[in-house]
Amino acid sequence: MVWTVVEYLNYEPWRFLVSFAAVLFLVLNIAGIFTMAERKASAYIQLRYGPNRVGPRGLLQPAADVLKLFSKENLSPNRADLWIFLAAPIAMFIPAAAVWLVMPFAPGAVIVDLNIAILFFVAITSIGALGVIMAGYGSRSAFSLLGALRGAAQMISYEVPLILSLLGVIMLAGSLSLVDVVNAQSGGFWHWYFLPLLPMFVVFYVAGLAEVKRVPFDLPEGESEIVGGYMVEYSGMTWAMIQASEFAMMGLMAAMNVTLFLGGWQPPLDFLDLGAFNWIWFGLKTALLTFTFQWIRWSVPRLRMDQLMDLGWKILVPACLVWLFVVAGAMLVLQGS
Amino acid sequence: MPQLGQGILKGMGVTLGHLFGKKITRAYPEYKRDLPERSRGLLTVDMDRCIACLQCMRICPDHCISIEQEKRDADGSGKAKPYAVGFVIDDSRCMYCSLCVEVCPVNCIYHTEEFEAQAYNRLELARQFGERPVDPTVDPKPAVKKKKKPTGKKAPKTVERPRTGEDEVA
Amino acid sequence: MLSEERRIESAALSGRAAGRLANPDVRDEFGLETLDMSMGPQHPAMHGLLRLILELDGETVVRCDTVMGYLHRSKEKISENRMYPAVIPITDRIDYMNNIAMEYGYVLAVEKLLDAEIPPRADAIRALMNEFGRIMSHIPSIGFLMLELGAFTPILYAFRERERIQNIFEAVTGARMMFHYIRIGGVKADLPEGIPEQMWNYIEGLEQRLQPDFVDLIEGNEIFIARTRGIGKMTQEKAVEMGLTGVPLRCTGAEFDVRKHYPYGWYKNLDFDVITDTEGDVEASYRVRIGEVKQSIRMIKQILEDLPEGEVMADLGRRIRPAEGDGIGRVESARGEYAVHVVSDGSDTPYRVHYRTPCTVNMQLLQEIVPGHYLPDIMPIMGLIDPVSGAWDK
Repeated sequence: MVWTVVEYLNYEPWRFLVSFAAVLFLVLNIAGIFTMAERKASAYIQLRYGPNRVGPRGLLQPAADVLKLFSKENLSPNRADLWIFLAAPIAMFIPAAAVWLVMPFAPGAVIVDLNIAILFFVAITSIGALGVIMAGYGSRSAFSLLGALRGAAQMISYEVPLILSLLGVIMLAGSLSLVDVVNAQSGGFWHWYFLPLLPMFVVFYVAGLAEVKRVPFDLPEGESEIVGGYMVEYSGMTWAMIQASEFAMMGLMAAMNVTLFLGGWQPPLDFLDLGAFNWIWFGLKTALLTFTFQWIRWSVPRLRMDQLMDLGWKILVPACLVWLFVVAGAMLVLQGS
Repeated sequence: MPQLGQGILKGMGVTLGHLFGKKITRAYPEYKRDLPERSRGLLTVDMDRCIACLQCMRICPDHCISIEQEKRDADGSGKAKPYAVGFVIDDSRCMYCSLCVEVCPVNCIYHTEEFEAQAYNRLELARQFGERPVDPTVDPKPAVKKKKKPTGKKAPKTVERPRTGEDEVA
Repeated sequence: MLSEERRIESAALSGRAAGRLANPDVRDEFGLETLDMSMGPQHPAMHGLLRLILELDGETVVRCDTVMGYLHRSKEKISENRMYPAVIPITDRIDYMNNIAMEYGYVLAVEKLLDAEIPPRADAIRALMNEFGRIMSHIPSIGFLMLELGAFTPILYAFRERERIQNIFEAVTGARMMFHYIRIGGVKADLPEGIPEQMWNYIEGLEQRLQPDFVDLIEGNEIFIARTRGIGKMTQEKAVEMGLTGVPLRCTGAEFDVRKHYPYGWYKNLDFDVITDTEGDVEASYRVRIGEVKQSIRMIKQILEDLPEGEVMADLGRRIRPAEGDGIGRVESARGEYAVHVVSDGSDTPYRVHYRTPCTVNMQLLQEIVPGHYLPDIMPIMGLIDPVSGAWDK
């Protein structure tokens, strides 16, 4: 009986609906968990305890936050462009959620094995920039507008090194499908792509930081300069949605990094293979990378706009291009022999 | 940049060290620090010793102390002495400068270790000590005799600096 | 073309902007307008309540007007209506990051009026507390600079140090922030039992913590260097011309320190260096602050090693009523030269008290050097001046 239900769910459109619900559940939970992790990590770095009142060791704090934000009134500026203002959080949230549809969590556990998954990732995450512009423009505030302009410039500029660094992976794997990419990295951690593609791994990491707008690239928010940038006018649930999409985006970037360069769900050594439970490896690696994001955030100041652009265009893009040629040459030599 | 990233890594090492370090904050309502002896908390007054000399009321920069005085033979000596029938300390005004404590000739006003003064209404913060309540919202008599303001009065002779016309106005 | 509505809105922003906006067709050669932005008075990086009216061309600041006065509490007028000793708690609230120097300046001025002789122990304790006050102000200054650059962590390490010094202050003076400790004729009370040892231990600990938490974490950081080197750069002539004092002046290379050049109190007996730097930018101010913290540590050690015995309060009588005349007290506060001018008319209360706070003067820097910088560079320049709202508005 149970089995037939599961079988039945495997057919469209049930399969799509169920998996979409699962993804939404995952993304919202990731946002909550990462908020908590961020607050705890920052607190421990700063010699504090962090939230410790709600639930055991404060672990229910995100739930309390969500409850509070739900009950808050949703304020909008007097002459804001209301449609754009309210649509912006959604435009930011959807891309952060949609990319999880093509993410391989464990062997065989992928919702859609898209053969152009990498392209899909690039295309969908670009929509996030649109959300930022909408939020900044719709709020009708000088600070928001500056934040949106910065955000747009930064996100579009850093797409370039991000995509260039993906090219190396595509060349090595010979496929645009994430499942193929992960499968190509099997057999111990020395087969993972971060070793042959070390500069590209670094570039992807840095560009990913910039894409998710975290310190040292959090200029669109820059709370000490433009007081929150594009989200300065948001409150209540719309604000929560922007926050959730940012944290989901951070998780997504970490997961993408893991999938492309750190072997996805592949165990570091062969005998550690957990079969269907290999998602534990995926989760562990993602969590570790997310921690490094947080660690960086609480250790360094932020860059200035011109310096950010310099870093993107003068260091990351050339580094990527050079390594692309090196990889191509190496592949030619090794495969030619 | 010859040593790209070295400084950042060094700083990140520092923060990583603190990540596992001892936490220095304390959970306040559960943990209360021992206050040092000189700590200046809320004021309180020992009405048995008060001689209603009004010195604390006069010195107080914020006019937070109001005293209602009356001649009364309180100690049975047959002589009518000043007696404080009303004594109010308005904590919403007090700035804990300790001047009143220092001028008090009989040490009857002093700081306690209590420092959690909070109320929903400002008037609740005015604590009455005497037998008759005093209105804390009315300023006591001005502590200092009003100076004649510069209109007509010449500014004091200064030693060092010739004065300009602007100073006269000030 | 600005809409009529927008023009009215902007005109309300600033008188000067209104004058310019009367002619709305101010455009550059590309036909682009500049953007007016009112930064503050409630803005996280404005050190309290400061309002900057900025004219932005993209992210470049074209004009920067400073609007002060949002925290004006008429300290000078209040001081005229208080008896001489009762003014001290009011001076405490001028520069609330470095209160002890504020008391010191006023007390010095009144003592000059009274020609009072101060016991040496009181003088030494004053200098000791003053140097602790300097550390207590400089370390959070560095934290604020980093906070404004976007690094949140150093400010909490800085406040750890500040809290520990406040614990010492609480044991000595009874309060954590508004000390009311330095009195006319001496100090309120002698150091309690065991406090000199506690101070010594704290200072030794601070010396160890200073290197990792405030030098390793900050100084070599490439992003910190990129954000601060060459930012807010000014020449020594310009700094002297504007009348800057304190760290903004010393980081340009001018060697001026009231403690050294017009020594007061116990500073005559102390051996210390005036820290200067040649660059005159934000990074230099950071280095000067770290250097001054080290000098303060050195001075505290000297004082603690050689603390004179005796009374801590001169006998000036119960009523302080100076003769007619005036007195000026100059001290080096953490932000620059702080001077108090007290004029007495022979009564219980001062006739006039003027507080010359360094922040008010140093603030001129903003209008002078901000134009031409990017918008985010305003924050490190604020960190270079490190003003305190209470001090510039009084």
